[in-house]
Amino acid sequence: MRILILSNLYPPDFIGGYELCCAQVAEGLLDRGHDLKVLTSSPRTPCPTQGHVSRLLELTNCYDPFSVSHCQPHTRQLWDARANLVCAHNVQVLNSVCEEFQPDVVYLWNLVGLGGLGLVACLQHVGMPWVWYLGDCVPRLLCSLGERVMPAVADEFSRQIRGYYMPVSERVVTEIETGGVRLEGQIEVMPNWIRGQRPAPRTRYFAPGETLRIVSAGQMGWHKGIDILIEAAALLKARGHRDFCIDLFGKVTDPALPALASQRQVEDCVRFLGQCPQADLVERYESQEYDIFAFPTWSREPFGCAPLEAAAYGCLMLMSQSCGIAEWFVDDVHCLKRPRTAEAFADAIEHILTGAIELAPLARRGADCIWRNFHLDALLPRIEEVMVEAAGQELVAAGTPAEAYRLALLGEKLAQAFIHQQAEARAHAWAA
Amino acid sequence: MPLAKIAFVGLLGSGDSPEWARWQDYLAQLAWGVVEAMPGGCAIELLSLGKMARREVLRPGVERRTLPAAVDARDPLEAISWEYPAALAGADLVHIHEHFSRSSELAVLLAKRNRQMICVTEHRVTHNSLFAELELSKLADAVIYYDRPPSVARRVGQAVEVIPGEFDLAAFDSRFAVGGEGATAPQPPTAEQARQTGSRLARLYQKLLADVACEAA
Repeated sequence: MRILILSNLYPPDFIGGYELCCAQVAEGLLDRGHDLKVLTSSPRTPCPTQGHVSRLLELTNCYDPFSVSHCQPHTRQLWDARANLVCAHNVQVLNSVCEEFQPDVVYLWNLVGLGGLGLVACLQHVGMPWVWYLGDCVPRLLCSLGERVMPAVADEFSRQIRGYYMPVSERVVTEIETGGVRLEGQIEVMPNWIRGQRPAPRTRYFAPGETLRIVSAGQMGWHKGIDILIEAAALLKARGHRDFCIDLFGKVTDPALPALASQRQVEDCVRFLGQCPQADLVERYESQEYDIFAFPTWSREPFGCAPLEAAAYGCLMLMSQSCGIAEWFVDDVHCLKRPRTAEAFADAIEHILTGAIELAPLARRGADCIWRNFHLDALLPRIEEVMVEAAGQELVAAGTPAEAYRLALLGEKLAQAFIHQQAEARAHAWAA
Repeated sequence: MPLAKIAFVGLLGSGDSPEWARWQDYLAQLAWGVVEAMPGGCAIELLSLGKMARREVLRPGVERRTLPAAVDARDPLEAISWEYPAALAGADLVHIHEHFSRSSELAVLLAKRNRQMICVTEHRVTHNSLFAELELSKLADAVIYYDRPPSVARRVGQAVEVIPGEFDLAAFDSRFAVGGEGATAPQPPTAEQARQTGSRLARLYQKLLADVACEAA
């Protein structure tokens, strides 16, 4: 098949798991002999050239916290409109690439920042089939300006947009639909995955009396519950435990978090170790450096690739009971799920420290389950089937690519006009 | 043949001015002419914007529907409504009568996405308009002129209807007067002229909707 992948970012320019998964599946599809092209944005820092990757799209400045926090509300709204609703430039680029590459199907990933709604509308208009991998509530985000979903836009999305969706968890679908955006078409929940060769069985698991080595990796932010780990460490120390350590890998998004570790006097057992390349992390897991992957993330976590990866190498997943990845595993069989509080996490760790919970059986079962059901090689055939089905639809184009571009230009200017109008009306109201 | 539903987009802003009342009256007569002449009948909704939502039956088969404006725009021609998508969704055909308003531009976008038939009456007005800048008339299935059409490239398959006779938009809005506001306003078409124009439009609509029915079959 000829597959065009559309993603706002693409490694080595990435922020999180969504883009990494995109690159992994692209490589997997290439290995299986498909003709594949990735269309993504100009990188935020220089990137080496990759033959199948075209970095031609404009990414609107929604991921730069400094710019976002230092701009006027009016400017921010204009950026949101261009990031979520429509960017005519990107519609034209998409048209050109489709004309040149002639894909059988377009595989959509994260479209935030690209004027995603306009891109999907363009594909619909020209009758191009698509499959949309939803690693987050992207359709809802695309129908929003700022935090607010625009009901009229959500209604139009629900009415008009129809295709194949692959959300990574049920909560992604729920979050989209509670925003007033209905997903019409085929929906098949598809988890994230791991790759690589299964290593030899782990030889060493934690036993009471040893030092329990806990790790967490990803964005070091409040939404990932890093504060909960810090508070849990403080509770454990207060209860007299010293035989544990928590290593944190990833970019710290709020300096208040390391400061919290100081305030709670747990700097000796909670270490912020900065960013670590994914391959290096895997090496550490393979070397059996850690016993537990702690994941006290927020309930709107779509999935969570990081704990999956660690658990594949025998780290026990200790996760929030309500999050995306928790939908795929059974508590006390493959993992431990707990309420998202410092007390609950401290209790779980304490039970492992004392032997009340035996870590090894849980970790083994978790790893077995992951290698059997969550390896990309096991999932790719199903992904291909969905794409073949999507490509086989008899879609009737509503118009030409030129028309789609003209409509995108119109949509872009109407959005700008409306935002200016709102700003004027606000200024007028204040003056009055 | 099922009853055709037609949306007329364009009441020059909204309000209580005599000019606005004349324009509404003209469009109502036009719509009535269509309803009388359309085989199988039709229902026409005149869409306009205002502070509050409202519906009013002007004549049998002709209803004026006021949609609440999203923002209190200084210039009524800039106003749009969040209810446009729902208002247009059920129409078989959308006729843009004042192409120089934001509402009309939005209506073209929505109607095209809905795969609805689009007619545009070109008034050769470039005021405040993305129509000229983006050549939005090329998206229409039919363009109506009140005088000789301009010699510009048209979309293949696009119908052109020329309705001879005097029609000056300045009769309804002095902004469009040659000589600017304050110049003597020309006379609007009579009710009879409006109804005759309506019956010509009915033939055009019938043809467009029949073409759609053939394609669907």
